[in-house]
Amino acid sequence: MTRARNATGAAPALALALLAATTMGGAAGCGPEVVVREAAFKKAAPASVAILPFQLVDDDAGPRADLKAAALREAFHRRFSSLAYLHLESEETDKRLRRAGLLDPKKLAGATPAELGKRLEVDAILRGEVLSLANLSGGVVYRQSISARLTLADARTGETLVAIEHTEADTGGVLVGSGQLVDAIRDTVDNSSDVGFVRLAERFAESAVRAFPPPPAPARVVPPRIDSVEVRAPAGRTLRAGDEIEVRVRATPGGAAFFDVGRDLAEVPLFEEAPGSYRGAYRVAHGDRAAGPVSVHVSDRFGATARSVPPGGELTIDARPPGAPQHLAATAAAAGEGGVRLEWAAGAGTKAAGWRIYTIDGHGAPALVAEVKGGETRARVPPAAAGARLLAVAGVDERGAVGPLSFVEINPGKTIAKGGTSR
Amino acid sequence: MRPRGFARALGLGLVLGLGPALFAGCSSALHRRADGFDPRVPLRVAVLPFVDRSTGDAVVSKPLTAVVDLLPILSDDKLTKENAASIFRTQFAGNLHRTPLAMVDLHVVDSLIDHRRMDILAAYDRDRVAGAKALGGVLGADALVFGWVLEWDRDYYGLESAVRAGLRVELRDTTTGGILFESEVRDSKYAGISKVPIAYSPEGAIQSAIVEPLKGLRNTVFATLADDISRASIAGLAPTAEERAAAPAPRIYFVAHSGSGPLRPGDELVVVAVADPGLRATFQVDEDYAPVPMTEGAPGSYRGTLRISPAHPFKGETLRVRGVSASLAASTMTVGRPPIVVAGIASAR
Repeated sequence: MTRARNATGAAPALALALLAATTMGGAAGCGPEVVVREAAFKKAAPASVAILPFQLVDDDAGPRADLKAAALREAFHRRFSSLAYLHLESEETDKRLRRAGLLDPKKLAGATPAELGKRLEVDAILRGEVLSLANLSGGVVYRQSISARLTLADARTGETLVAIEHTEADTGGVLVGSGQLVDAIRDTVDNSSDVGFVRLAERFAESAVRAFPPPPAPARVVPPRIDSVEVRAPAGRTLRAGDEIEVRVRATPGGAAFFDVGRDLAEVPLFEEAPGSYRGAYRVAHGDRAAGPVSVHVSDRFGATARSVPPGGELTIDARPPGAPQHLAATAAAAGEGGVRLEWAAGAGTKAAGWRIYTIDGHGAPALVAEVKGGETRARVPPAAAGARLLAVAGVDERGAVGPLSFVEINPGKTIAKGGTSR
Repeated sequence: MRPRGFARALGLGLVLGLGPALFAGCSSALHRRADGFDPRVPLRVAVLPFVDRSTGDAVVSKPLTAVVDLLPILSDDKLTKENAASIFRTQFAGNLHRTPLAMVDLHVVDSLIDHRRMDILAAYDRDRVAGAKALGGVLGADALVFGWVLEWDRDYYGLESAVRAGLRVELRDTTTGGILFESEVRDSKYAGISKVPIAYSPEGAIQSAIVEPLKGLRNTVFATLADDISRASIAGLAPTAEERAAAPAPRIYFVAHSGSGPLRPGDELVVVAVADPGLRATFQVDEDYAPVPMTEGAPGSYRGTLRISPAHPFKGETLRVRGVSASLAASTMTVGRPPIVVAGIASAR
């Protein structure tokens, strides 16, 4: 049996009519027209839904209509996620459609619910057709509207279970005499920017989702199961550049998995090498810094996630090069030596295994002129190099990673006081 | 100055002087982000049901606002069944999608809480550090959002009305239980004489003066206010739409990889990129495989590695590097040559 209803009921519709008659204009848009095939819906309500990319029906929908259609889909998706259906994330839906060669709008339009259901592994397919997008603005009056049709088709039977058609519109401006001057001006300003469309799209989505029948029983969420996590990494020390962290996980097959180290090294992917067997590795690179437990996430295609933090899996990674030398100062060397004497203090970060001293030419390019061991914090620059305008010093770690430079301006034969740090 | 000119100047002065004040309404916002918390890290976040700690409508306004809810011309039956906490939670979750944080669907959160019979109020009222740790495991989330409705009331003064709302949120790390981000935002909307009712006739003026303050008490005004407050609440987690629009896209100058010949399981694919400094960079082999994080060594120089395994049956795939700036502007560069090929693995796709 089919039933049609106005989602907001008769009283508000009457109220809206009265309001329009008395004040003219303002926020417009009646409730969605909803058709629910109740018998089929109640008999076998879908538990899982995929929301397809919204299609533009109106060829003359204006500039950036495709982006607006995508934004409308996302707005709908966000609101739809509060209903108790399992639903595929948009990215996952698009990925599966791309794999199947169905991301092209024409091919997508021609695909049957059964075919899509099989590809996307869901019970039902939700299509969105953007019937029209309008934004008429005359300075003192405007009207922006979104009109779209949403249909939920059962992928198992091909039947259309729910059809919703709705127009959300905003009419306003000073001329229509709606409400209040200040609000009318502010709304006109909003309407002239993307903010107006985004808000209208949110309202459209809110109205459409409110009109959508909830499943007779909420879909049960069952997160994937993580059976075991094995972390392989150098033990008992801080990890440096070149070290490797390997994580092996046994979990529910077919998931998307990744691991984090603390909050700074995030989302290192784990790949499923065999059903239920995930492995991923991360090689520490120069510049990495992270500390904390290794946490593993495994998500199913509907976003339900299991998280596991294996005990004793805390790691510390510090592959930052030595920090910039501090208090770098240059003085003229003793009369018999010639050149310039440099002194500095070690900077923050990894302990320097050595220091490199550079001259900086007129184009800013450094040229290495001297090296000293990490324990030293002073050096003499030979007379030839002392003719340069700038000298720079940087720390280098045991693996050869060079840290940021500190520089000092020199003037041969005279102490120069001004120093600085480059990054 | 002639009297007419003076009157015009006075009128203009009043408009210029009062205009901004009328537009601004009354709002306050406090935000705090923990040191070292980079909101570009795509944490998986669950928004818990919010709790309502507001006192409700002002006592003197209660009879009037109760009547307002019953008037068909003013009430919004689509909202009367929802309470302040659920309206705020929905609006906040909708806005959280604008940040890089990955959100656990609300119904997934609700379903798991219901299924595990978790006592959410206890998590709010007792030790939230312990509560966040315990709930994080159940919900599979890296962080949780706790939310309190601080204010949700309506005042009616005849020719003027006001709705006020306030929200406090905490984003807590589920590993440590510590606060990553918190904000407290209050705002109000006025309707009536202060907003200059529009009228083109004496009858219209009377009508506007009576109707507009009443319309200002509708639940839809609350919902809009909750949306505004939710947008303001996530400031610090995401730049505003205006800031995002103004932010230049980061530049990626160069991308290269080590897969010049067929790779084998156990080999390492090294990817380097030169781009603007300070980006959060990832690389992705084809769009079907998860992105791999890259590290910035020297400023603007990025490097990442992928150890090839049997899960990588690459058959001439392209490589895509993506960089996201602090203002969340993103750029990608795709390179198709040399194609990435792994030998000796049969594709399961």
